[in-house]
Amino acid sequence: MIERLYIDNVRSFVNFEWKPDRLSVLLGPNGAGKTLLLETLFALRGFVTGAASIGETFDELSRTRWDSRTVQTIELDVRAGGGLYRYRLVVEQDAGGRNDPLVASESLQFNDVEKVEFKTADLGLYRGAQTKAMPGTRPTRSGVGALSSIGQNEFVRAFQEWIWNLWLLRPDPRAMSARVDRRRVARAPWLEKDLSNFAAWYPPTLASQPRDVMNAIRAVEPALPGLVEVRDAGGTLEAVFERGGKTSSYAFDELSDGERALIALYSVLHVLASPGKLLLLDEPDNYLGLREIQPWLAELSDRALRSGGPQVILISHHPDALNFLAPEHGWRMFRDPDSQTRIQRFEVQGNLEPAEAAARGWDEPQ
Amino acid sequence: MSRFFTVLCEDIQARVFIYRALLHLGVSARNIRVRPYPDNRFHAAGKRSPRRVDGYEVYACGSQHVRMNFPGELAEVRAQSAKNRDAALLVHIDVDNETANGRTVQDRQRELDDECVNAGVPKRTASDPVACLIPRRAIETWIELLMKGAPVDEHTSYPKLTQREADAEPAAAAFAAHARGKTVPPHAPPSLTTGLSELRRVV
Repeated sequence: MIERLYIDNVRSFVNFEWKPDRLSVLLGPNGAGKTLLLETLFALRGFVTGAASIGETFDELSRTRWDSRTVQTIELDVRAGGGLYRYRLVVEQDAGGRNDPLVASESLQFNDVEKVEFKTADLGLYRGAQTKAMPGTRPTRSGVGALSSIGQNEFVRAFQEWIWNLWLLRPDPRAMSARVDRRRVARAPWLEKDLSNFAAWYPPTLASQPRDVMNAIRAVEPALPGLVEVRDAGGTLEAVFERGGKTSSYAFDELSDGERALIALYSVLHVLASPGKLLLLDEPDNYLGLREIQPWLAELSDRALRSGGPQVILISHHPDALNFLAPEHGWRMFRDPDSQTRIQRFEVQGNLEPAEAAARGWDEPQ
Repeated sequence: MSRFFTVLCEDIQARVFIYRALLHLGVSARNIRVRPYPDNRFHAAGKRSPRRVDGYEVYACGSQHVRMNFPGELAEVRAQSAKNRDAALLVHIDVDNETANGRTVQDRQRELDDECVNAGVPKRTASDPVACLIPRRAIETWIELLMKGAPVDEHTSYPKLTQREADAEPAAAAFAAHARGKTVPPHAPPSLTTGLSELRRVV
C-alpha cells in the first residue's frame, strides 16, 4: 500500500505530496491532474518492471513547463512485505532536450535498514559503506527492477512484486472486441488499460481462477437476468443466457456497451481486487446504469476496507459515486491556470450532497 | 429475496454492517440502496466540537442526517407499498449515550417519531415495513459482541475499525444468521436483542 507519494517537476506536479488512504476517491475539475497522477504511477511501474526506459517514461515534455530545473523526483513510501519501503527516483533531463534523460539516482530502502542505490556516475550498487560494481546496469533503465532478489538483495522482492501488481484501468467497452487470442490461452495477458483485450484475458483467467470468475458472473446476473456463463466459443467470447427454458448465446461485441462494461468490471472486481494489489481506476462507472453503480462501488469499497485488502485509487465524476464515497474517502485535486496541482481532503460544509456541492464549485478552496 | 431495501444510516461502519448482513440474508446487492451518509471523519478525529442536541452532547452529524431524512423515507416506503411495490426501509441510528442514565433506545425511537410529527408524516406503525436498528451505545458495541462473543456493556465506547470497516463482515454474517434463525447471541445487550427483532420485521 502506498503510504506516501511525492512528485516534483513532472508536468503539473511541483513539490506535490500525498498520503493516500486504503480507498481514495479523486475528484476535481478537468485538468486538475487526476488522470495524470494515475498515469505517473503507472509509468513508474513500467520503468521499474523494465517495460520502459527512462526516456519512454519521463521524456523532456514531462517536465513542468514553467520550471527551469532539469531534475525530476519521484518518491514512494510503500507498505509491503511486512515493512516500509522507500523508493526514490531522480531523473536528469537534458536542458536542451537533445539527449535522452538519464537516471541520476535510484534507491530503495527497507525499514531504514537495508538499502540499494544506483547512481549514474559510476553505475554502482551501494550497500552501506560497501560499493559493488553492477555490470549491465544502464543509466536509462531501472536498477531496482533489474536487481536479482536472491541472496543479499532478498528484501527487494516484495517491492518488485508490489509494483507488478499495480493496475491502471480505464474501461472502454467500445474498444472491447469478442476475439479470443487462442495462441495465448495458456496464460492471461496483461489487461490493457481500456480493457480492449478483455476477450483474450478472460478465458485463461477463468482457467486459473475459476471460482473468482464464476463469482463475478453470479454477481452480474441480477443486472443481466439469465446470464449463466461467459465462455470462449471457438475463438469468440460469448455470453450465454438461459431465459424461459431457452438458451441463447451472444458474441461479446453484440452486447450493449453497458452490458460489456458490467461483465468486465465485475470480472476485474472479483479477480483483481485482492490483497496486495493497487488498483488505479479512471472513471470505471462511465457506462453503467444508475442502478448498477452503487452495488459495484460498495463491493469495491468493502474489499478495500478489509485488513490487508487491495488499495484503490478511483477517479469519478459520477454524482452517485461522489455522494456514496466522497464524504469518507474523497480527495479534491485542483490547480489554477499555469499553476501546480494541489490536493486536499474533500470536505463539504452545510447540507448539500457532495455531487451538488462539486457541481456548484462550492467545494473549492476559498 | 426480491424486496427492495433502502438503508438510512449514520456512517460507513453502519453501512457496511447492514449492507453485508442483507447480502448474507440473500438480498441482491441490486435490491439495496444506501442513502448517502455525511462525512464523519472530522467528528471522529475530534476536529469539531461536539454539539448539544436535546441536552445531550453528541457528534451529531450522522444522527442528525438520519433524523432529518427519516420522515421522507418513511413516507416514500409507504407510497411504494401502496403501489404494491415490495419495499422496506432499514434505519440505523446510534444511541450515543454518554452515561448510564443517559439516552435510551426508546429515546432515540421517540426522536424519530417526533421528526415525523414535525414533518406531518404519521409515526411508524407495526404494519410499516420499517426496521429501526438502534445500537446502544453504538454499532461498535454490537460488532464487539458479535465478533468476540464476550459480554459487552452499552456505555463503553468500543474501538472503531477506521479504514478497515469491512473487517466487521463476520459480525454482519452473525447478525444475519441470528435474524434468520430467530436466535439471540449469548450476552446480547438489550439493544441488540431489540435490533434483531426489528430486522426480522422486514426480512
